[in-house]
Amino acid sequence: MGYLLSPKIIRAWFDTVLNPIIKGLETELYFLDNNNLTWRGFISSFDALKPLFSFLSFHYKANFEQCSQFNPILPESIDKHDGALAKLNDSCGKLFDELKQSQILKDVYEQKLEKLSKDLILSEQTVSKLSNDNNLRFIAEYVINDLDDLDIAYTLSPIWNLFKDEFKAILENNEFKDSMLSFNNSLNEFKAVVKETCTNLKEFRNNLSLQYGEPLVIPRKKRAV
Amino acid sequence: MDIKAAILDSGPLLIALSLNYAVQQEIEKSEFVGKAYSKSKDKIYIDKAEKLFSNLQTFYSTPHVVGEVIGLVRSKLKLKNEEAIFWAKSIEYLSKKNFNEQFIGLLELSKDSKISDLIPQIGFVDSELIKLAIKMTDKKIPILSIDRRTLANKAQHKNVNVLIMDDVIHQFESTKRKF
Repeated sequence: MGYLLSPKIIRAWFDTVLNPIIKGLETELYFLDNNNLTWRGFISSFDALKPLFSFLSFHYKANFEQCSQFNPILPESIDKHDGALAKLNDSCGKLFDELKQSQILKDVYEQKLEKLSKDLILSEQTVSKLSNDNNLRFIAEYVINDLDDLDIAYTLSPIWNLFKDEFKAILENNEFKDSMLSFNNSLNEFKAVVKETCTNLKEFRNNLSLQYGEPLVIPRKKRAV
Repeated sequence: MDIKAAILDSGPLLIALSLNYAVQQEIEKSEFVGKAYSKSKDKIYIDKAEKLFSNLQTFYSTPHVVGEVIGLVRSKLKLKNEEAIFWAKSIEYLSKKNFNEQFIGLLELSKDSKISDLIPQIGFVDSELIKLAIKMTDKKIPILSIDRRTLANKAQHKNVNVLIMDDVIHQFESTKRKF
């Protein structure tokens, strides 16, 4: 028996499968273009870089399975993306752990904290917060994510904003050479895969749109904030 | 767009305080602030919102807007026992942002012939914000709002500059991120 794909089915694929995945890829590209991996040491993974299936709502699993059944490009793209992400996760995790536990990070931090305490009038409360050992985890995170100045809302903004270049320079140390090489390779691979996947899925979606006469996105009813 | 000071309506003020709280408490930002404003669930949106508020050095507003925000915090964020901590962190944040709260009473507002017609149309709180913006015309400080339909519309009739937060956010380019 032949199957007939209707505009209604295509609409459902767009709204519940393809558009969310492509939006997720665009979010990843935004953060990658900013060199911010959104790495979170506490959960040893990324905030904005995720397995593609996690951009979908589980309510629409059936639509995803149907779309995959008819279009192998989808599961193939997902496998390639997620594979590259897993490699990046591993290499980033290794680099982060090494950096966080390194003596050099501890020494640079303590040195800068002492300088900050001498040069600026900081309250006892601020100095106490900045002296917390846990802070090294955050500094390592900011280095991995290549952050610029932090907003005042961040406890470590006084020390990070003044000395971020010195903290970032720690990764140039020979101690991290092997981990950096592995990390940079997996990062470059992931960036290329995200760009390729986004382009391919957009093209695939566009072809379906033109074939079945379904707009890519339809206006949504306004909801109260 | 490089704005250093703004008069905050309740929407942006709530978003700013929620973002500050999420950062301070190490809560996932887009999920938490998304309770305050659904568009903030988008990670790119929240990233750019963070940039916007970081650039602002001075927040202006009114006690009545703060009163509205108190109600919104309760109804949208539902912090329950954590509400006291939220406000402690918020006050600390607002002091760093040189929070300038200006009061314009109902009677003063209704005596102002330029503004009094607005009160029955958009309400007292929004009328007060427009009056505040007119008072600060020399400093060219805009109102920052999420309300395009009523406040922005009426303010523009009074030659008051209103920036809609979504429009400002979308103008931020994807350049090196500054928090």
